[in-house]
Amino acid sequence: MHTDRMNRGFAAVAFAALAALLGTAHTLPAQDTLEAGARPVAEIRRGGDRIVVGRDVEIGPDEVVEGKVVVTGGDLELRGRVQGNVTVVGGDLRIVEGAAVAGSVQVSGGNLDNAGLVNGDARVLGGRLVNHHGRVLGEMRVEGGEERTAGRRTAGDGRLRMRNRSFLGQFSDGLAGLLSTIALGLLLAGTGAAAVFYAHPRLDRVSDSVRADTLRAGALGVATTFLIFPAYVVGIVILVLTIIGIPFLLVFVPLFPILVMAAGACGVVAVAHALGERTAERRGNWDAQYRNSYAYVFTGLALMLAPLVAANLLKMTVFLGFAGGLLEFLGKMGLLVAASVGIGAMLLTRAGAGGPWQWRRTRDYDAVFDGQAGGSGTGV
Amino acid sequence: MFERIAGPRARRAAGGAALLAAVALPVWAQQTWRTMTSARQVAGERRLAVDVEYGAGRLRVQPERGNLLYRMELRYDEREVSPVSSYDRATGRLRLGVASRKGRNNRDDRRGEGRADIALTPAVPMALKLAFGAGEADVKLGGLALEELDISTGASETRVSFDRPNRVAARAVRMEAGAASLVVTGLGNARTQRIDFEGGVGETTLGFGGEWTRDARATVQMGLGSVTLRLPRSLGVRIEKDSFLASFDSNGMVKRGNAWYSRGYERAPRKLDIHIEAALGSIEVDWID
Repeated sequence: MHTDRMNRGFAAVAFAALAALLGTAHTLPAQDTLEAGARPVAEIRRGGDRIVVGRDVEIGPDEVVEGKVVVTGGDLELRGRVQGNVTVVGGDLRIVEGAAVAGSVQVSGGNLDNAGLVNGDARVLGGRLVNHHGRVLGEMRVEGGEERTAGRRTAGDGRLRMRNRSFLGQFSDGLAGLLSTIALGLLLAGTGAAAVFYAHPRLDRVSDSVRADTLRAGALGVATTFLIFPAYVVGIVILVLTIIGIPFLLVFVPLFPILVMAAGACGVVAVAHALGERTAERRGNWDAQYRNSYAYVFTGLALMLAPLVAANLLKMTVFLGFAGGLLEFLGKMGLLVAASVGIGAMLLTRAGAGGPWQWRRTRDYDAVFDGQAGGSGTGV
Repeated sequence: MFERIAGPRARRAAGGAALLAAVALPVWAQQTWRTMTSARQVAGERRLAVDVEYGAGRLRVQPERGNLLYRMELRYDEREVSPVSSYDRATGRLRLGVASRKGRNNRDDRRGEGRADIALTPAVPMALKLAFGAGEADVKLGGLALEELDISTGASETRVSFDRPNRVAARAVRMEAGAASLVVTGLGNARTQRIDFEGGVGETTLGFGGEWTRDARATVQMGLGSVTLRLPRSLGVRIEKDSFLASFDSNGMVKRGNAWYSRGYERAPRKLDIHIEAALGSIEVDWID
């Protein structure tokens, strides 16, 4: 029978607590023994109950305990009968064949080996329960230790395995996220470069719209975003109902989401351009010779994707996974808002071809924003 | 006024708040994992009503091999959920699983670290009701004594199998899947006359293999998604469908009137009638030998 002897250092304190709980601390009967020394030992027998602190106990085959049995800091071997509950703290409980407990048994910080009969529940906290053809009429329950984690383990069985898995898992998640973000950045940068090269005036107008009418563009973008899915469904239904439109489903069904994603990407590029332009204006003139729409788009994309990059770097660490998650959420929300604003701005300017907003641009915006830029931008 | 707000005191306050947030957020995010095993021995039970509820994580259900009524091993986040293992011997009602703590929206398992392994006795006839939220579930029911089965899943990947015949004839088998991937195999081994499936969005495979001991009727209701019916060639199958925008691949079945019939339907020793209602998606028949 194995006992964690370290627990016995706390036996005196546990004894006092148990005695107080049972209301016997102030009335020790004559047969009680209390031995002082390096290994505190105490035994109380009162009203059929038996409480033992700091030593192993054996209840013989002919012995009947009318009340409860509590053993702390020692093992209990039960060969006889206990009419009440049995509690063992910091030790093992062994119930041999033929022994019986009328109540429940509970073992904390030790193991329970049962070959006898337990009428109530059998509970083990922080140990194991082995039933050697014994009978437990109630619930058999084993509760393990606690593992606290903010992405890591600090205790419990299989701790090392779990910690390794968690660390590697988090690192690989973060790395995968980082690579995804870089891929997204390259895709958007390519889209942006193509937009600057092929449709610079349009991009410029949409970008100006983003800066001058951010709220309106955002509201329009959000409204459009909400209408996308219903429009998709309505489109499908119309094509189906017209019968002759059914073949067009083959084109419409995959093309619509692609167009929506392309619109979102263009919106993000337009916002990136606006952000890059604004950043350049605030930097002064020292890098004026490098200013052009390519630089604006790349700078803006870098600023917009920076939170996601940082988030994935944080997620690769074990300790800051939560902060990474929060930053990732904020970064994605930022991209979503950018896409909405960009889509709204494209609608306002009819994809940069002109529109109601054009009037404001020619009269107000050029004077305000282009003037602030000091005319130093080289443009494309 | 502005200087006061933006002054050193304000900066110190902001710094303090940031420090507090830096300390508090990881604490808030901390999870406390515990393990728990609960079991009961069989003690002359004649019938059980078993409710298994598991919110999120990995769930495994299988027959118990020893002399236990049930055995449940849990790993759970103590801050989010509490274990449930209650049994009323008088009524035979057994409840297993986890329950969300008040005010908590069970986020037990984003990383799949929470799990529940449940084994149920094959010796006692039972009505099993299994509700599973999100995650991955592997439910092996072959060899149990199921009088009734009711499975509902949320956003999950669930596999349900009857790899051995049910020990008793089940009155009904009901399955409900939300946004899920559900694969069911060996439904013939359930020994039931009635199978009902209701799916929301997702991909579902219903395998009607196994030992058929009686004729049966199945209803399949699907919102948006695909349903694959895996049917044994030895079974006489009749399919009626009522669909809006769902394609139907009958895979060699013969249409007579409003229904599709398997070849040799009339001569088949056991017959299965399937009624399908589907809104949008695809229905596919796949034969198994």
